[in-house]
Order: sequence, then structure tokens, then C-alpha cells
Amino acid sequence: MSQKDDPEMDRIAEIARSGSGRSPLYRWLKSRHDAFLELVSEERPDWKRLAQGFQEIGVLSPDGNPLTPEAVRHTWWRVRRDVAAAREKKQAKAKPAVSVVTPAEPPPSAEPPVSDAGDKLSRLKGKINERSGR
Amino acid sequence: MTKAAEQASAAAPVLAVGLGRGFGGKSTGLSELVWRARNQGRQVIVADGDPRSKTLASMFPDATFPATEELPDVKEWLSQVLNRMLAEQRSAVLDLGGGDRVLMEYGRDLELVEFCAETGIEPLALYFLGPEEEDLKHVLSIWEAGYFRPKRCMLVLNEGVIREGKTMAGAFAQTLNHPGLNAMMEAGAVPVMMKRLTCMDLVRKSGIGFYGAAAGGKGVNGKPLDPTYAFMTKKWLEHLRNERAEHGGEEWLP
Repeated sequence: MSQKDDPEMDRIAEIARSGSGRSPLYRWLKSRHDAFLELVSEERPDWKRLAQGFQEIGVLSPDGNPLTPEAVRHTWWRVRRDVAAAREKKQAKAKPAVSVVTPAEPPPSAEPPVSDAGDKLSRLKGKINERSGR
Repeated sequence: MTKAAEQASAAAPVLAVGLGRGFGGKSTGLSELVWRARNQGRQVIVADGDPRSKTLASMFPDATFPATEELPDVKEWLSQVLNRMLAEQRSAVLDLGGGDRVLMEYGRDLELVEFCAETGIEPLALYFLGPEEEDLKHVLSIWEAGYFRPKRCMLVLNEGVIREGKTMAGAFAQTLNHPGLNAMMEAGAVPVMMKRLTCMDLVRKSGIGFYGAAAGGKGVNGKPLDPTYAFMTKKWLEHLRNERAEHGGEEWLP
């Protein structure tokens, strides 16, 4: 049986991840990072509608309240940042001690690392755009 | 005193210095810091070094200010503020007016950030930015001069000073795309968006500060703010707290 078709494993993985102290939305977004990234790259995300969508599928804030658009956007940024950092770390580990003539191609889904300043500025711009109805 | 206040008072005193051109929201932002500390049971020194407007001194009767606006008097007074912080182990909220002239002159006498490191004071720079190009230029001139560049630095973008009818994105577009702003963030500055508070004037007139007004306290006229305004103030404070907390800035405050 492949891992993909293993509902028992899925259930156990869900339990294991729920003890991470992360919010349900964070876990949801992290487990679907690549697909969600593709989605929001295609269309400019409407955070308000996405927050409503999450409520409809039962993804709520840690205290059981509906998510705000701002919370969804912030959580997505945190997930992007964490996934990018984890992938960068993984790539660094995978690098051989001695450089080889032909470096291995990075995994196709790897994102460029998000610099802290770039991250702060993007988030600020996003918030200001949202505040301005853009 | 609450347990939280006891813990906080045991922490290092914070020297929070507000910098930026006039009408950028500096006095508003600094007064919020004073009221925030007092609301949490901590007494902070209020130091108004902006002799032209004296806004902080007009809000807080216990504020200290220099004898005159002459530079030697301002420098002498600034030394007294620092000495008092050390003697009383208390944080201070300091309005330095434009800031550039005083910091440049004072920097020649005393390396302020190094002095703070040696004496156990945590310096915090708060740059208040309006949307004008000159606002950012002024901030960058102080920051690039390097007379006071502590590790902890906040850039407060104030929606409250935007002309009616303009959006924040439009008004701040030039600022947000300026490489100087990015350079400050690269160096660790934390951006904070300060929303417009529609009832700001009413809160000021109440004389009891943001936290008192939001909690429904009676103002100097014997009446609390109307519930809608009290709620607006409460939400404004929540937003400001969240903005600062996003990058850990809440922990830096006096």
C-alpha cells in the first residue's frame, strides 16, 4: 500500500501534527503548501473570501472562532517563511562536503529563501494595500 | 503591584526615543507608550525635549523638559534624564523633537548607545513617518548619521496624518519603494502601521489617555467617551499591539 492511500497513517499524522502547538490553519496550509502556493500565484488572493472558505470547511482559529482575513494572510506568510527555511536547510545539508563539477538541480518546488527584510516589507505592503482596499 | 508589573519593573529600564519631523504622530505614539506603561502599573519618566510644541509636557503634568531650547540646556537636561533613569531604575519616554541636531551634538559628548549598553539601559529608537518624502529623508538622515542607532528600532507609518481622501497605499507609495526604508529593515528595523483613530481629538480632550478612554473611564469633563468611540479606541489599541507584536516589538517597550 502506498503512503498516499493509507488513511490510518493520515489519521496518525494528523494527531502527531496537532501536538505541534501550531494553529489548525497553519497545519492545513503547511500540509498543502505547494498546491496553495500555486493557487495564490495564479490569482491575487482575496483574503476575505478565503477566510470565509476556511470557515465553511471547518478550519477555525485556535479558540474556535472564524478566521479573519488578516489572520489567514499572516499565517500563510509564516508557512511560506517556515517552509522556505526548512527547504533551504535541507538543501544545505544535502550539499556534499567537496564541491562537484555539476551541481545537482534544486528540487523543482523549492522556493527562493525569503529574506527577513523582504518579508517584513512585503507584509507591510500587503497590509497597507488591504487597508487601502487594493 | 501586579506580578507582571513586578517582573517588568525588574527588567532593564528602556530609553524609548521618538524621532521624526513634526506632525508625523510622534507625540501621539509616545503618549500611547506612557499610558500603556502606566496602565500596566509601571511609572515611566516622561521627557519632553521638543520645546516648540511641548505636547508631551502638556499631556503629562509630571513630564520633565529642558529649561530653554538652547542646545547646551537641552544636552544638560538629557544627561539629567539618563542619570535619573539609572538612579531610579526607571524607563523613560523621550521626545527629541526633530532629533537630528540634538543627537548629533550629544553624540559628540556621549556615545549614547554604548553608554546604554554599559549601564544596563535598553535603547529603543522609534521613527515616526508621515507620507511626505521629507519625512523619510529626515528619518534617513538621522539613521544614516549613526549617532543613535540601537538594535531595537521601530518605523511607525502613521495613517492618521494622511490628507483626507488619500489611501494609505497611495500616500506611502514613494516611502515603501524607497531603498532607504529597505536598508533600515535589513538592519533590523521593525515596521509598524499606526491606523487613523477617528476620535483621536476626543480621546486627547478626555485627558485620561487611550487606555482609560477605551475602558470607559470618565474624562476631565466628568463623562466617559461615547461607547462607539470607546470601542474604536479599544480596537485601535488592539491593532497597534498586534502590529508591534508581529515582529516581537511589544517586548521592547517601556
